[in-house]
This record gives sequence, C-alpha cells and structure tokens, in this order.
Amino acid sequence: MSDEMKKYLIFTIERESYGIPISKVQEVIRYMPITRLHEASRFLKGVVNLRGKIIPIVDMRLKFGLPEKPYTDRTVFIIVEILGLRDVNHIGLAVDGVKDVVDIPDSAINRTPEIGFRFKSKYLYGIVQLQESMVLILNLDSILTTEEVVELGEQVKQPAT
Amino acid sequence: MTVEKKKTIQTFVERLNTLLQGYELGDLVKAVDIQDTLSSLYKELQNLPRMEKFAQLAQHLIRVADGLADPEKEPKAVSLLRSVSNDLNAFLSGTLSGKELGARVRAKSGLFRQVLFGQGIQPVPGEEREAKKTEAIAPRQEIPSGGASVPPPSLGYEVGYFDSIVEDEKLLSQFFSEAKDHLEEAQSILVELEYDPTNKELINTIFRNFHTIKGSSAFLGLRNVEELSHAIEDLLALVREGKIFLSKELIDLVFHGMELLRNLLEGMHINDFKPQEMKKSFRIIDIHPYINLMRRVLDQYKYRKIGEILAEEGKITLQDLQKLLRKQTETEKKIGELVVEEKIATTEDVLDALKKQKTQVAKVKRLGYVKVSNEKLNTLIDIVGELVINQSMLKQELLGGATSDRAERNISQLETITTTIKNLVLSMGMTPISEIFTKLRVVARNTAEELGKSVYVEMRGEDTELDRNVIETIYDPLIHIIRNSIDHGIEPAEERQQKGKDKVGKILLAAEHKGSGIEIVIEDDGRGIEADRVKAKAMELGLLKKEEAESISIKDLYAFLFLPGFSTSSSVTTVSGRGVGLDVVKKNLDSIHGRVEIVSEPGKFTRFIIRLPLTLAIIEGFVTRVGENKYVFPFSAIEEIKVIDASEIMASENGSEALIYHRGAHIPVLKAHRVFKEEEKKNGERILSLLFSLDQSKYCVVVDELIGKQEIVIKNLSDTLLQECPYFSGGTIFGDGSIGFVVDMQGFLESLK
Repeated sequence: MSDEMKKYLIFTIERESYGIPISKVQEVIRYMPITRLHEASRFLKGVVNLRGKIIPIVDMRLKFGLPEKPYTDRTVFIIVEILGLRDVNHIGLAVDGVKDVVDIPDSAINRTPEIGFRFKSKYLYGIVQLQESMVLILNLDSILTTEEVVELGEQVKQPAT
Repeated sequence: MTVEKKKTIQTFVERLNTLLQGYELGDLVKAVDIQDTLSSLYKELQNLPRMEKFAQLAQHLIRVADGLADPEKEPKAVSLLRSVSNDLNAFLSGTLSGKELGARVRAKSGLFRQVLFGQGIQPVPGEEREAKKTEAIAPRQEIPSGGASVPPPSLGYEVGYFDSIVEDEKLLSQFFSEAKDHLEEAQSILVELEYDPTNKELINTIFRNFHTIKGSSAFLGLRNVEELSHAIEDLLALVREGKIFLSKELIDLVFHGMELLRNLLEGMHINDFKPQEMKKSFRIIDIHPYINLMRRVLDQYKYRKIGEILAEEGKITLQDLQKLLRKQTETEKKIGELVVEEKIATTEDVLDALKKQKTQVAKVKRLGYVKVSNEKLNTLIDIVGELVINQSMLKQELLGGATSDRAERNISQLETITTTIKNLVLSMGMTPISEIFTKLRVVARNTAEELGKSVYVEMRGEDTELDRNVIETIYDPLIHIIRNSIDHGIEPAEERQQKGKDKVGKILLAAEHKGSGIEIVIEDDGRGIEADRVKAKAMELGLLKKEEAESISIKDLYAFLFLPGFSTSSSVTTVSGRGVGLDVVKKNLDSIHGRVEIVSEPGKFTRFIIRLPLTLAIIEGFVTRVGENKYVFPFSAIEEIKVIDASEIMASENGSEALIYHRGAHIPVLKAHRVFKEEEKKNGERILSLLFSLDQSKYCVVVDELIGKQEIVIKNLSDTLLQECPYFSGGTIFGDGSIGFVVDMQGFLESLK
C-alpha cells in the first residue's frame, strides 16, 4: 500500500465523524432554503439554486437511516462531485456540521472487515483513528448512486473488535 | 445503343446543364464537378459503337473544362460549355437533329480554338463533327464507325510520362495495398476533420498519409499518383502550418483528389499490376485539371514575398533580386528598403507591392479561427446564463423599492450588455447543419450502393445554424430516415423507369428557419406510403379497430409508423424492415423537444418534416404552480387552456378516473398533484387545466395556477434526481431565483399508468 498523504474533509452526523476525500468536494455552503420535492425516497430532500445551477440535496441523516432533525444554522451542505452515467454530477450533502480537513496517509486507513459489520462494505472505504475519535471514510460514489438507505449510523455503534 | 444507356447519357448531360447554369466564376468545387460529369460522360460514350464523334466531343469538352481552372480562360470556357451543353440537351430531347448539332458545334470552332489555345490540339472540333453521332444516339441508324480502333486518348500526358514505372508486379501490388490503407485512414480522418477542422493531430496524420503515398509512388515511378498526392500534400502542408483554414470547400477538394487517386489505384489493380496494361488505364484518367485547380487554390493562399511581387511585375530583374537577397543576409534591412537604396525600383513601386502583399495577408486572416474546447464553451454558456438571471434578480430588487433615475439607467444598460453577451455566446455554440448534411450524403451514397440503387442527394439551406448539441442528437435519426427512404422509398432503377421516373432517385435534404425553430426536411421521390398497408398493419397489431379504420386521419395513421415494432416492409433487408427504427427516431427527437411529421403521396414522394427548437438551452414553456412548486410544461404540446367547470367532470365510482366531454371527445382529466406528490387542494367550482395533445390522444392536466408562457432556460438536473423523477426533463431558475421543474410529458403520462 502506498503511503501517499491524501486530504480528507471530516464532517459529523449525530456524534460520529465521517471522512470523504477532499478531491471530491467542490465546496461547502451554508444552509439555504430548499425547494422541496415530494419524492418517494425520503432522503432526497429537494433542490437548491447554487449560483444558477440546480443541485439536489441528499439528507445524510435520512440516507443513514437516522431520524430526521430540523436544519439549524450549523447545518451545512457539502457539494460533491460524483460520476454519473453521462457526466459529473453535483450533489449536496446535508450534514450536521463540518469539522476539519486532515492529511491521512493511505496506510493509516484500516480496511473494514466484512464480518462483524452489518452494513455492506462497499459503502465504506475504511476506518481511521484520529486522536481520540474514530473516522469512517466513506465510499461516496456507491452511497450516492444507490437508491437504498445505507444504514451506517446504527452499525458504527458497534465497531469491530 | 440501349435505351438504358441513352438514359444514363441523358442524366449526365442534364446534370452538366444544371451545374453550368448555377456556375459562378471562381467556383472551384463546381468546376471539379463539371469535370467529373464530363469524364463520366466520356467514359460512358467511349466504348459505345458508332459514338466516336460524340466521345471526341466529350473529350474536347473535358479539355475546355480545364480552362475553368485558369482565370483568364474561365469566362470563355464557361460560355462555350454552356452553349454546347444546351445544344446537347436539345439534341438529346429530340428538338435538334444530329446534323444541326454538328453544324452548331462547328460554328463554335473558333471559340474552341481560343479556349484550347496553347494546348496543342490539332483536330479542332467541328471539322468532322457531323451527323454520325446522332444516328448512334437516336435509335436511327447506321453509318458504321469509319475509323478503326481509335487510339486511347492520352489526355495531355506527355510522351514517356509513364515510362519510368517500375516493372515489378510485387512491389506495385504492395504499394497498392499500402496506399489503399492510407486512403482509407485519410478518408475517415477527413470526415472527422469536417467536425473538428483545426485538430492538429488529425491534420498531421492525414498529411503523413499523403506524404507516404507520394514518397512510395515516386520511388515506383508512378508519376501520376505522385503528382496527385503531391498536390494534396501541398494543400495539407499549408493547413498544417496554420496558413489556411480547412474549410468545407477544401475538404471537398481533398475528397475529389482522393477519388481520383482511388481510380488510379483501381487502374493498377484491375490490370493485375502489369505496367503496360496499367498505362492504358492511366491514360484515360486525366489528373491535370485537378492539379491545375489545386495550384490555383494554393496560389490564393500563398504568401508572396515583396521581392517576388516586384520581380513578377517586372520592376526588378531576377538577377537583381538574387543579388539583393545575398546582400540582405549581411544587413538587417528589409528587401524593400534595399531595393530603394540600390535605386533599382522607386519607392512607389515598393509601396505598391507592399499594398498587394497586404491584401493577400488580409485574405488569409479573414479565415482565422480560434479553437475553443467544448467544455470551456459550455461553461461560458452556463456562466452567462447565470449572469442573465442575476441581472434580472438585481433589476427586480432595485426597481421594487424607491430608486434613483441613475440606478434605473444603469440597470437598463447592464441589461443591454448582458443580452448582447448572451446572444453572442449562444451563437458560438451554433454550427451549420452542413456538417451533418455532407456526412448524410455519404451515408446515402453507401446505402444506395449496398442496395444496388442510385440516388442523387440535393441539399438546401445547409448553412442553417443549429445548436451543436442538437446537431449531435439529430444525426442518428436523420441517418435512419435516409436509410429508410432509400430502402423503402426509392424504387429499383427498372421499376422507376417503368413508372416514367428518372432512373436516379432523388433525396432532398433541406433546412430552414421557421418561426422560433428550425425545420428539417428529408424527402425522397420514391413510392410513397400506402395508407392501406399501414391500416392493415395497424389492425393486424390491434392498434386500430375496423370501424375506426375508415375515419382515421392520415396524420393519425402515419403516427403509427413511429411506434416500436411497426414496419410495413414485407421483407427484412440488412438496412431496414425489422421495425426498429422510426420509434427510435421519435425518441431521440423527443429528448430535444423536437417533433416529426410525415407527408406522403403514394407513388410520388415521402417527406419527413422535423421541427426543432433553435437551441437545447432555451425552450418555450408554460409555467404553472402545483402545490408549493412551479412546474413548466412544454408549450409545443399544449393545445389550449381549459377551465373546467366542476359539474362537467364525469367521475367514476371510486373517483380515481375522471373524464370531460369536450369538442366531441372524452378526455381524461389528470391531476398533476398525483404525479408530483403535491398536496391536493379541495377543488373549487372552476378547475384550471391544460389540454395536451400527445400521440393522437388528448389529456387535461389539472394545475393550481397558470402563470404563463415564458422562455425557459433549461438547467440540468442531476442523474440522481432524474432517476427518481423520470417525469422531469430538467429544471429552470426564474428571475427571482426560485427553481422550477420542466416536465417531460412522456414520462409524466408514464408515471400515471
């Protein structure tokens, strides 16, 4: 495994920390009113107008099967790029807050074992220990291209031993 | 002579006539066309018994057409060709007898001499030109060919021109396959270059192709191949250096050259690479007109030096020039300054020459282009869209409150500027439709060949400009329609003749601006669509009931043709007949808000009319409010606005289905709320709805509020969202910054099923 340092954006949902590669992140914006879509999948909250672009907002709490919480002024949208069928799509992730941008060497990320986790490992790239807290590095493309609810939230309460 | 032969000859003469009528001085591409037509005519006549005279005349005319490439001879050549071709036409249609034709041609011998002057032709046409050929053509008769076998014409090749060909069949055949590969590659690159004329890599590759052909052919002593590829290489070299832009005309020119090259190569192949035999074939194919033409084209672009201009005009001698050039290497001075210093020419002369040089430069500059990546252009279009939105937001903001005159003036100035930028940027994304029309012509040619038919493709309005993305989307549907037309429409040659039609089928490709969009027409003069067969097929498939069959309108009937799996072709060919096709055409066109319609007359023609919006980015939309959001419906599909009275609605027992009776038809009433999952209000007495007409069916869509017709800038909705909501085709942002959703009617109805 190479020991290349990569930058990750760390955000929080509930009290857990998650990391995504910063190369995927276009920008982080403050909460803005959402044009709601009354849709089948609950986690797709609606769309926002980001400087003339229409960006769908996925509520990560709902995506992870957590109870909905009203948005506060701490709520932020992380605008990420994911590879769609034809071109790059921009999607906004509604999360409780962003914490930090950190350098993590690839070797520090522990690949998650299949067994002992209830959730599918394809959604998780690995786990990394940063000081006192554990950060789950997400595999964004597969999370955002699936229509199912990815129940990460519950499982992280019982990390592998 | 067979009737068929006569027809072919007639076709060529007619074509010649049309070409000459539309000929303008300096139209190089047409000049090549004329040459081609004449050579084909000559080829047809060449081996016919009793046609030597006619063949000779054709041969002379080829040489006269050479004169088209020479600006001095051009006007005379054109008028001579015009008058002779008129005579020929009259003769073929029977209004002129052979004797009269002979006399007329003879009367023009003076003109012939003038045009051909200096080409070393002794038998000036006219002398022996007589009735003979007449008898041959008109099925009159006799007077057997006087002269024994006429020696093959050598079309301006000097003696010994072909003597250096290497006598090695193996090497020649190797060269043949190598050159063929290069030509094939060059052909595909050339087609790509039509789309992307400044692509350096492509230009380099095609340059190398011809360079290699030139090199190998020189080595083998194939001088004609060498000269020809050299000429093309010269042109491409200028393109490569960025001196000239590879315009459509130039691409056509290269295509012509390649065709000639291919003919030469074929001449080698059919003679099994035996040099003696090859020479005979080579002699028939005259490459000089093409090379002359090429030279003339290149001269237009060549950047001449001051010294050369002065020398050419006789202001200084060549010796002087050489002396000066030597001197120039020692000093830093310009040649013009030296000329004046040495008192060889006057200052005026130099200034004059400079002026001439400038006009040349201007000519080259006019064709200058800058290459911009698609991505950058798209971003620019996006950004400008944002600018426009922002501008109107600002305007609303400012004009809402109390504002000064100054603010108002500034804002309206800003508006003018943004609109100008917007229009400019949008026009950058436009490309002339000729880009695909020319490609379609190739498709038509190939398809016809595949099916053993012959077609002639006419293009109109090929400079009509369209959004690049629209052009990309309609390319496949157009291919489909064309292949369809040639396969189903155009009859085989014999059948056409029996019906008294021209043996060569005609396909018309036309584009023009109509209203706020573009109309593209593809028409063939084939057998047309038989309504009864469509009816029968529709009934067979259960799409049409017997009792409806009588009253169904033609328009509704043709609409069946666009359904999947619907084909009236009785046989399956490699080209079509499997019922896959027109439905795809419709789908592709739907995706860009285009519409297609068929008009046909059995036995006469079939016409496909495609109507497209000018650009993909902006459509005419009807804005409505449903629940808490704004939804935009495509305006083109809306027939009327219908205010339904609550009492009009006939609901089924459980209330799930509702109908109204309107203008003699029962129309389902659909609630948009159900599709968009918006909250339904309690209906009042008056229900607002839009009446849509789609695929021969009508629907009433109930909305909460009608906001009005607007030009809608369509924004992409991401795939994620479109997967969830297949009934949207995009989104839009209104002047106040709020978001609306553009409804895809097909998806909308689909989700109600």
